Amino acid sequence: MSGITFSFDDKLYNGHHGEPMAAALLRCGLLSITNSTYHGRARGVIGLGVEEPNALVQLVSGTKESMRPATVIEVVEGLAARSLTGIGALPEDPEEARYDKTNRYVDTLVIGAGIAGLTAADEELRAGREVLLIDDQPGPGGHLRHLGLELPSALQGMLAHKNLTYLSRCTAVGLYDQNYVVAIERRSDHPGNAAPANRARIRVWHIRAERVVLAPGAFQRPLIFANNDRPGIMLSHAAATYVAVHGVKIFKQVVVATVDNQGYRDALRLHTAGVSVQGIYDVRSSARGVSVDAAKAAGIPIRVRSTVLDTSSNAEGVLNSVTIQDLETKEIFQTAADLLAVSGGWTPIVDLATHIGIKPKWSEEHAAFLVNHATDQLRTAGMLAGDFGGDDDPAVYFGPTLDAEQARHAYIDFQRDTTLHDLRRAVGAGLLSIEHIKRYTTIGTAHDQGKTSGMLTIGALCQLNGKDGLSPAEVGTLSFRPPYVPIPFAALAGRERGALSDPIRITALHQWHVEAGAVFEDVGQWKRPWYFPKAGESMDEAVRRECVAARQGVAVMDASTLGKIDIRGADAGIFLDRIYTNMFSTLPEGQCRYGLMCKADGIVFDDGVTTRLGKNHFLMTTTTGGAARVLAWLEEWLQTEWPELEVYCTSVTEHISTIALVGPKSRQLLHELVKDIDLSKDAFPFMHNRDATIDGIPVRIARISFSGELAFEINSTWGDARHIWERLWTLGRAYDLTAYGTETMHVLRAEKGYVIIGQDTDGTQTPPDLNMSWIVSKKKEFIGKRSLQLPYLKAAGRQQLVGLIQEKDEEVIPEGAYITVLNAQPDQYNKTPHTGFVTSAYYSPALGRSFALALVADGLNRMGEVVAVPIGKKLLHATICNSVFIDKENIRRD
Amino acid sequence: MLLYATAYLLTRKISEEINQAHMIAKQSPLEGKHTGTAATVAIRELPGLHTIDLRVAPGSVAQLVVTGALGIELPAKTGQIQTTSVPGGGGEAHVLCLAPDWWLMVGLEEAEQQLALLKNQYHFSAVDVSGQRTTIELEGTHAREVLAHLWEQDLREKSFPVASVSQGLMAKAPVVVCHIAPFCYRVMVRSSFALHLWKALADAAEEWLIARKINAGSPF
Repeated sequence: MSGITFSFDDKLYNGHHGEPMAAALLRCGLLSITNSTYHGRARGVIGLGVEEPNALVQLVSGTKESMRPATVIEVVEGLAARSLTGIGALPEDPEEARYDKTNRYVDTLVIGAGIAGLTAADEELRAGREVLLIDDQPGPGGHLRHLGLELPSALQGMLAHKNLTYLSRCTAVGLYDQNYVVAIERRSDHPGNAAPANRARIRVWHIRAERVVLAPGAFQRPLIFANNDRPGIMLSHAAATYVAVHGVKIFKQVVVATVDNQGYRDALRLHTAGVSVQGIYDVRSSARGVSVDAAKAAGIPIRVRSTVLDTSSNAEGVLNSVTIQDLETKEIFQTAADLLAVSGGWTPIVDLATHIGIKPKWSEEHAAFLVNHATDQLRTAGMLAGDFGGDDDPAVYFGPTLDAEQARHAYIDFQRDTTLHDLRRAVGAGLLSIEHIKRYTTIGTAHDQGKTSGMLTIGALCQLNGKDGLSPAEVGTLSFRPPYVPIPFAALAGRERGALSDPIRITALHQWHVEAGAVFEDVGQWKRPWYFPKAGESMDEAVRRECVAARQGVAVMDASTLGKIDIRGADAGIFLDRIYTNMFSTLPEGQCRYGLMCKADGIVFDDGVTTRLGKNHFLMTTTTGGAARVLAWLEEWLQTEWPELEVYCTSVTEHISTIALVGPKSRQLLHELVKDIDLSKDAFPFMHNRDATIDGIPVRIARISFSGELAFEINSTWGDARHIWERLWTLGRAYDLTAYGTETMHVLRAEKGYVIIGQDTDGTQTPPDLNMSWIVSKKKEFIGKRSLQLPYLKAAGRQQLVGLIQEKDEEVIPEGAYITVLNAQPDQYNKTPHTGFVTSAYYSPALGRSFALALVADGLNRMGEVVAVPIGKKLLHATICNSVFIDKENIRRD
Repeated sequence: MLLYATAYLLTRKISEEINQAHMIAKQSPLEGKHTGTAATVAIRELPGLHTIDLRVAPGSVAQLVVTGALGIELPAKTGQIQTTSVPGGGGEAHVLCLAPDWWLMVGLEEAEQQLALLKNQYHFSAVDVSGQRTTIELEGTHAREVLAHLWEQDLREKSFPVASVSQGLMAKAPVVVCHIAPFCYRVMVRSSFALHLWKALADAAEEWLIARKINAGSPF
């Protein structure tokens, strides 16, 4: 082990690379690590690992993780940490370290690389299975590591087996149904500066295993006595390990309080390491076994039927003496000690098993809750299954009887500063269930989630309930939930942050838009050009210029994001008749028709133009955002309701790119590029479709207009779109061809009164509400037709789509603005009732003024009525009008 | 069959003429991007793979007629890939079974024309979707590990052997994943999502691109 220097609370300490920070601090004599959160009492290390309730630190070097126990941090050169009084703070800087996740399927997952887990892994390998072995320690061995012992060579050999993957520093944090386990592997802190920059700091493993072996081991538990929280009071196994394995030499005189033989083993280890053992105080009336014999042989004084009642401290709050009580005579005496090693029995780690609803069973023999589970899919092993090894004969004992004053300083949850007094208060308030008591007292709700305090609470409740007390079996266990240990949010986010947090969908022409300086708008996951500003141009100026170009010259837009569905089959026409409110089976080949579809409730759902390409062949377009749900809708009806229809639907949204060429000069420009078809209005009428070629590239051209202007939609494959666009652009120079984005598209369509589903609708509009009764066929059935006959969908007062023209040409009304009747008076609640709201509003260069579309109650019967639109303190006046503002006669489109 | 053969020759001639006229190179969503080496993992776009989306009822007369006209077999089980040589020495083609009545035919450039005359007589649909997706190939000893970062499905040989295909979401993008050869996978991704997925895959590959073998456990 190489020597390193790290800092704690801005003081430098020496340590060995990779050892627990708790060990290094103890060796340097630092017993008091922090003050408790609420009572401000001095606290030190009591445990060995993630069960540690006291010694929380905040890292201030590298990734400034806000809260981790010093018992699990491996020190490396240059590490810096600060003590923490329970409440951590997230660092202000964004986390730059890499975090990722991966998925792993395996025959057998073994959780825990102690002797039990290693043995289970060996058995599984011998059965020919592939094994993933995970363990939260830096190396395998579990308990053996705490004893400073080497792994038996047979197990060492097994670790090299080709079918075994062993992950150290990997903690299973959740067990879910079907043997789905989530684990976090810490990968780059322990090498310190030697870790490559691109190495993920924490990797989240999503593991699916056919078989799971739970061998998580156990935590030693403390006892409840007065002032049981002082620095210098430790779990005996932790104390012995720090002294014997990590070379902590600061303790002179130790008192051991125990309920089992573990206390004897730890006393012997401390004795062997040179610490004077003042005595072992055992609550049992007799103690037997090799551990006891060995302690006796070493000359360690033993006193049965006695335990620790209280402690005292020096001025710094650090332990200096222990009060012992004889449990028979109630005699009390004090003895000086700088270390009190407590062995309150073992608590097997039942957490993961309880995640999937397994109820641990109380074993009086083990003085512990166990999970003995053995199915083909899931089995438990080691201490969890009751295999404690050794010669243990633990007493079911949690602490001596304490008076009211003693109970105030007898801590159960060290991190939450909850005491036996608090627990008595909860029971006194009438709380019976341990789940209620947990919530009332906050026991078990800190970072450690009750790893040491849970069992103490159960034990204390046993004593508090009734004359003879209860058995822990009657009190029952707490339920544990994932995660087993805290996980940084950065690990859960993984790589799905920043640019990778959500897909960005782009069209074949995206790069051109970027180079042209487009400002983009998010439409679902799509990036669409919003407008194309020239140098120094504001958005308003750019949009006006683009609008004028489309109405007076020629303009071009990338419409590739429209959803496109290829629909084929002998029944395609019938199918579309049922899907759309209007008729499609009668549409002649080579022609296009605008269609509206409703859900079964008669509410408008999506719209678009569908083209008949052949007798049994249609191409449907949907709204950009609606593509996936429309395809799902079509498939749902085909697969569940009308399987007899011969129709197949295929998404071709990306296969086909669409360029909209718009404006009075569009025909002239297109004519330069398209030589093989007649583009004249008589040969190629509105809402017709033609196959053609551009430079030999097959294209489909449709006379579809979303602006009311003469317009052509040029459809090509994805791979050809860029060439066609570039060619249009080159030829278009002579025509001052202008690229436009979604904002101009919105203005142009609104001027013509074309709705956008989702903008001009709020999920409650029927086709008649949109003044589109003309599109609702009376001759056929379609989805939603019966709902449209319902009285409430035909009732007066429904919100209907209308236009609004302001009295004075003031600013553009904000979209979403409420509309009230003129001179509306506040009601009894001082609210002015509204009569509708604005759905779209723009400045129109064609009209020379701003205008709006709105949903207004009974709007279609209120043409010419002046209404009020309150905007802040201002009250605008506007007149209700038809929603078509320009070219009502449809002259411009030809 | 004579009728088919004549129609085939005729359509083939037409398509050749179109191809001659069509000299302009098609753009692919990733412009042929590639990174890494097969010693660890190579990731590359396979641009412009000709793809037909075929829907036909399994076991129907239409299916018999379609496969007869194409001169190939369709894999019968969802998740299977059938590799065939293109009739007439046109190299290798792959037919992917995505659902009981749904196949993707990759590399059968003549398929649409071969089926053109059948389309009003039998109930099936064969749609050219070559532009709908592009293909990203991952090849090398770590190809599977790279995919595992982004793919929740089981990639082990026993569950997803060579000649398997599966659909799902990868980095939230809809994809079709093919195990095409040992240590070689193809991810067919919707063209609009291709750049996003490329970035996610290249990012996932970062630790694996280094030539030395990284032990997943404790490399230090």
